[in-house]
Amino acid sequence: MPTPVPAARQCLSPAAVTALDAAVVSARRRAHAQTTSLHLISALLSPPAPPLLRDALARARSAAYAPRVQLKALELCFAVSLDRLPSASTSSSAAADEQQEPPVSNSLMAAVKRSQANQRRNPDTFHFYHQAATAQPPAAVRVELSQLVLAILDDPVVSRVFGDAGFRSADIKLAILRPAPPMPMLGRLPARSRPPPLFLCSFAAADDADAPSPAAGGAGTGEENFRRIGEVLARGRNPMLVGVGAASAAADFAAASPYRLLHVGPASIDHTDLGVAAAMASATSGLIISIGDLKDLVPDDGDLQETGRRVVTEVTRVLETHRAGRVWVLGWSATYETYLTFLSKFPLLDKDWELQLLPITAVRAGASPSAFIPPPATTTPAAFSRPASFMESLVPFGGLVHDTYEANSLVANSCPQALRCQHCNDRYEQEVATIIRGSGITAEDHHQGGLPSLLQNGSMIGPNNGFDAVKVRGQMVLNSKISNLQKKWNEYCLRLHQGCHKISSGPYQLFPNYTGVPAEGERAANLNRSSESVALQREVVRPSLVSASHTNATTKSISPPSISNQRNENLILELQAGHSKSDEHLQDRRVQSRHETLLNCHDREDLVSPSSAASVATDLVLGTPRESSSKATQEKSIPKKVDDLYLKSPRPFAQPYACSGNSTNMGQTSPGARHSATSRGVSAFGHWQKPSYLEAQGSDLSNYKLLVERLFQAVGRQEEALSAICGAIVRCKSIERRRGANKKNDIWFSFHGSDSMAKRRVAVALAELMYGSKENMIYLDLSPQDWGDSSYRGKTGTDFIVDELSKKRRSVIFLDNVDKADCLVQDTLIHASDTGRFRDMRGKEVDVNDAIVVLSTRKIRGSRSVSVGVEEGHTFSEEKILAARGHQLKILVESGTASTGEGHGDKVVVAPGHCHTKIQASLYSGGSVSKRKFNISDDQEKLQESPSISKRLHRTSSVPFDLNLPVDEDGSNNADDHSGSNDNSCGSPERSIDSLLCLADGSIDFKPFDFDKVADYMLQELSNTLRRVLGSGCTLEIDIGAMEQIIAAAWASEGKRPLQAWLDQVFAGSLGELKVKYGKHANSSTLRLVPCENMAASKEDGCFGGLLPSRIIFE
Amino acid sequence: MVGAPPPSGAKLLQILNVRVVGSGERVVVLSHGLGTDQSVWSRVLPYLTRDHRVVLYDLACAGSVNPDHFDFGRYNGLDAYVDDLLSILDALSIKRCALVGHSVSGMIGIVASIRRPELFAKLVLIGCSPCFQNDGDYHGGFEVQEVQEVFDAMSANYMAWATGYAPLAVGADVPEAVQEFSRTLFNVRPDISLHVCRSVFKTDLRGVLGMVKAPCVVVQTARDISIPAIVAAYLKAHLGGHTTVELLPTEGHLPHLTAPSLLGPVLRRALARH
Repeated sequence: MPTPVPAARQCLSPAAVTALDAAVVSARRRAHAQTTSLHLISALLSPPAPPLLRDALARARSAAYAPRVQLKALELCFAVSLDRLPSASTSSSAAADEQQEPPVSNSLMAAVKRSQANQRRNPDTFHFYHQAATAQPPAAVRVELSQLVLAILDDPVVSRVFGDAGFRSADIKLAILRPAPPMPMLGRLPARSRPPPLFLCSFAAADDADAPSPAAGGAGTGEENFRRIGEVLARGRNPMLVGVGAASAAADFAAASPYRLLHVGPASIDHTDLGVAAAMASATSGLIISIGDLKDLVPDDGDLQETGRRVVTEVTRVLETHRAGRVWVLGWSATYETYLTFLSKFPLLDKDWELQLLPITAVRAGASPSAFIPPPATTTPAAFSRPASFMESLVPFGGLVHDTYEANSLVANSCPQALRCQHCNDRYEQEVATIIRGSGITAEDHHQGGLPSLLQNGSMIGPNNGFDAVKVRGQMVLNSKISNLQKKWNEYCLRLHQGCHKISSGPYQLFPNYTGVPAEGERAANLNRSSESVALQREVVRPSLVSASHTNATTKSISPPSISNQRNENLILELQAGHSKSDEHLQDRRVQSRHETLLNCHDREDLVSPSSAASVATDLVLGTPRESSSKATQEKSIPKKVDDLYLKSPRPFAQPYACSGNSTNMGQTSPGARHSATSRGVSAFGHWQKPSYLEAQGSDLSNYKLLVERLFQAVGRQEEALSAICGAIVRCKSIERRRGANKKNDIWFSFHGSDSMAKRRVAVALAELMYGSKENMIYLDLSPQDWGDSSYRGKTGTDFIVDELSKKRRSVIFLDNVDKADCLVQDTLIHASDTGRFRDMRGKEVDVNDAIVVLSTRKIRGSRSVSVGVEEGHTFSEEKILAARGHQLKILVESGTASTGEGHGDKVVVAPGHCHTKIQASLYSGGSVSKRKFNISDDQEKLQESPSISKRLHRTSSVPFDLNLPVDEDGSNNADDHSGSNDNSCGSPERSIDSLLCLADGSIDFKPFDFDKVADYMLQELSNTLRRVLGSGCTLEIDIGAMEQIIAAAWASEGKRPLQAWLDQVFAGSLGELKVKYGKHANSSTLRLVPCENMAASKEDGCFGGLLPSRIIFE
Repeated sequence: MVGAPPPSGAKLLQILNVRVVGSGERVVVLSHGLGTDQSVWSRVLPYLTRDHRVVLYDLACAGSVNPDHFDFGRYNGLDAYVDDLLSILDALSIKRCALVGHSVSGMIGIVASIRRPELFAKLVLIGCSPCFQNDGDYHGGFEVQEVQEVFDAMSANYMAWATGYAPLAVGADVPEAVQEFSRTLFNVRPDISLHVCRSVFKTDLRGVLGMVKAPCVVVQTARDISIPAIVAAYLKAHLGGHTTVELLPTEGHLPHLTAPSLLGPVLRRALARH
């Protein structure tokens, strides 16, 4: 039964009446039906009210949270609770009742009565009231505000709200009853930077500096910063906060600091008498001079700099005079760079001021829980004009809920003696249920007994769409409350479990005995003592700290922002470089090509080039030993080649290579040179037949000849390697090998050298020959850059091998670039080689007993670097060809012949020209200084003799003129680059991988593929086609990129027929179209074949894996 | 336990599941990121154990740590985590080590190396950002509004959020890794997860990067939904020590799950030089 407001007023003292009136206003504004305790407390919290409660709260707040945050949280909790109160039941009459005061609720009135009774019993006033009681009715006792507040704090509704914000009603009561301690409490600072909270439990445990505190999901960051600043101050040093959140941390500190804080900045320095303030401060409590943001002290403007300097001078002076006193300096800076600028402007100031840098890592803005609770008005659906009705719609039971949860809370909170650990959980659940009902969220939504499971929230997104958003937010608040509750109960339970005797009274006991007070005084004394000892230590510690920060300052002060910007740009360049290496190459080449194209012009005009480089090059044509030897052997060896293979008897696998180490100029002096020379270039297109599966394996495998023949049919070159492979296979199959007790059937090969295409073909052919299908090959490139490939994502090399091998046990495992494998794969391989079993990281094992393992490396045996040496003399290296991508090709038509001076990068010029039908081809290799030039005389007879009719001028650098020097050596700089970038991160990669390769049953050397020979051949074919279609008047320049594409296609294709078909159909066809389109001009124009970097040739067409397009476009 | 002094020594080692594996003179501490625990390192661990003594531990917010030890008040910024890390190193009597930190642990490493410069010989920061929120010219990857949306999504339906987030963070093309990440993500209690995310999003280390003196290696994948690549450039430009950037040609926020064979050698290389 609510009491009318005037009746309630009669029981209150003037101060309390003021408070009540404020509460009534608040209730009316919110259109609540009654004025409750909540209204009264929230009215007391807001500034116009007397500071009684606010002061008490400031002293009672928990140690765990920053003061501002906790008070903020409290405000929030009250706001939320008020919003949940039922509105006036008759909303239609609300307008008429505008002036009517909401009557005082039962609970509030009960609190007034309680306080009346208390006041009467109070010994201080007992006699007064006792006497008065005889004359007046008891109702006349006018309740003091403090008594009223104490009584209201017993109201479970109120104490619950305080609890949500991390306060305990009992603490607040105590704080209200006890007078405020003298404000500056310097002695406490060393251990805790501000007055300790007045907890009942901390009274009991007076020596325990870390008083337990209820968790409320509040923000401890501010608290943490506060503590650290306090520690710095306690050490007698001056804190310098650095970090984006530094300013707010300083503000937080200022707000809660027990010291006087004096802001001194460039603007205020003239009006502040620092000396006086400092003198006063040292006499009384202490003074912190806040110099604010360092940015303001080091402005760019000259005039302002002067004031900044004055600030520093003043502060320095004050610090010197009051060193022994209690004067500190506090400053902050958003960035470390600003601090360094500051120090560079005022050198040694960090030393003079004894600055201590404090990194501040957290920013406050926007991260407080308050962000999640919208102001009610903004989220109220438009249909509801007043917050009250909005609340009504959320609370299905209207006022009923209010009563029930009040009752429950009474049960939960008012019987402190029942707090036993075995009951904790029950009680906790009870409270949670109470809160849930109170929060207006229906029981179905939270039927699981109120564990703070956000997971359940999914179910809330349900039928009542209109309020989902609101409800979710409500739920969030609720959940934070629940988790707080849980914490609280856990804490209680834990404490009780431990049987801690310090807590003689329950936390909810209303009035504790005051034994805590002397204990606290004692503690303060202790702390005082410790602060002194710290201060003594300080002197010892200081020098080292100072020197450290000093060196920091000097080293860092020379990095102004411009440098960092520079670094930034560099990095971006680096990042880009990773994506566009090819572009970079092209650019490099372009730089060079400028002067080289000049030479090119001369050549095209059939002039003798005046440049010395060209003449040297001409000499070298004659002097290159390789050319002569290969020429000499070519014609003879072609017809014999296959026969030779048959004639050879099986021999130990290592034998053919005995000599290879002697000669760096590979393939020239070794006995097998003839074969390799022929196989390069010519036979690359020579003998292509599909190998047939050896069905009767057992017998055929022992037949060495047959095996070699089949392999050669598949691979088409590298006869020596093939024979060695076959020899090893036959040997392995013929003898019985053992690995421990088990028979070893698996064969391990190591493939050395380049020509990865041939190696791969060997592996495919082996898979087909030995295991019946090309599918039985597991290919894995172990070089690290390949692991970016999406098919390997989430896998290690070992995982991949084991996965694949467990699918097909009988297969050829081809591991490319094994030298670049990471150490785990290497370990696995060594393990597998020893035991015959691959084991992945999950412990899964698969045996390799039926497999052939091929470990492939580009390194030549005995050489430490990658075998680029043999390719150095060549324009087209395997790396470049491997890197070639299938772009759309395009022919640019330029009339006239003077277009070559334009610097289009590298190109091949094919000019089936003039009277002598001479091809001039100039190839410029990018990236290196040397150049190489073809002078192909296009005689018909020579063409028939051999496709490679070019007299070649091997590239040389201008330095080694001695023709006896091996060709490789001038490329050593490149080789170094490769070995440099190829650093393997394992401790001793070379050794382990070498030992692995030594374990192989057969070590096979592959010869490098002669791309230049193919290039010559292709140029010839292109020029033939050009002449056939357009006549001899025009010139074709082929961009190096396009050439690489064509060569890559030639390399990858099996035999020359597909490429010939491409020439006949696509190239010739395009030229035909061109002729139609441009008519006569075409005959005398310069054509340029260039790749379109941004257009890929469609994968569908063609047998070149998309390397060559099915149509060439014009421009 | 709430309000009690933070555990230290052997008790802390136990609470945070500290594990020391491998042999070698040099010590490497692996510190995992949000939504994972130390198991996330299992795939790159073999790369390190041969030559390093590897210290593994769980952050207090990890699902594998008893949530009762998670003090919402204490773990409100990075400092409590830094305290934990330093206490662990002290408890193990480690005088000098390298730290490999992923995501938030990179931040922790940065702060720890500022607090105790003598302790850290090298920092390897994987997918680390000094600040997640955009601010003026700085591009951290998240607008304030977006952060709020993330929090809303997390709190509205954690399960749904996590299910959607895991493939995004890991990269949908690696189902095993997504599954693994989802597992550890669900292990974290939703309220703790939300709490930690909030404290991470309000962390801003940009001002203090210059105070790091240890050499750093910033490992960044080519595409990471949480960290824009430019952040790596920012770190390189502002970290006080000698800093190198390793760009992994893969994508996803968790290269140690998705690309161990790329990350492993990179880690070895980075740690070999300290």
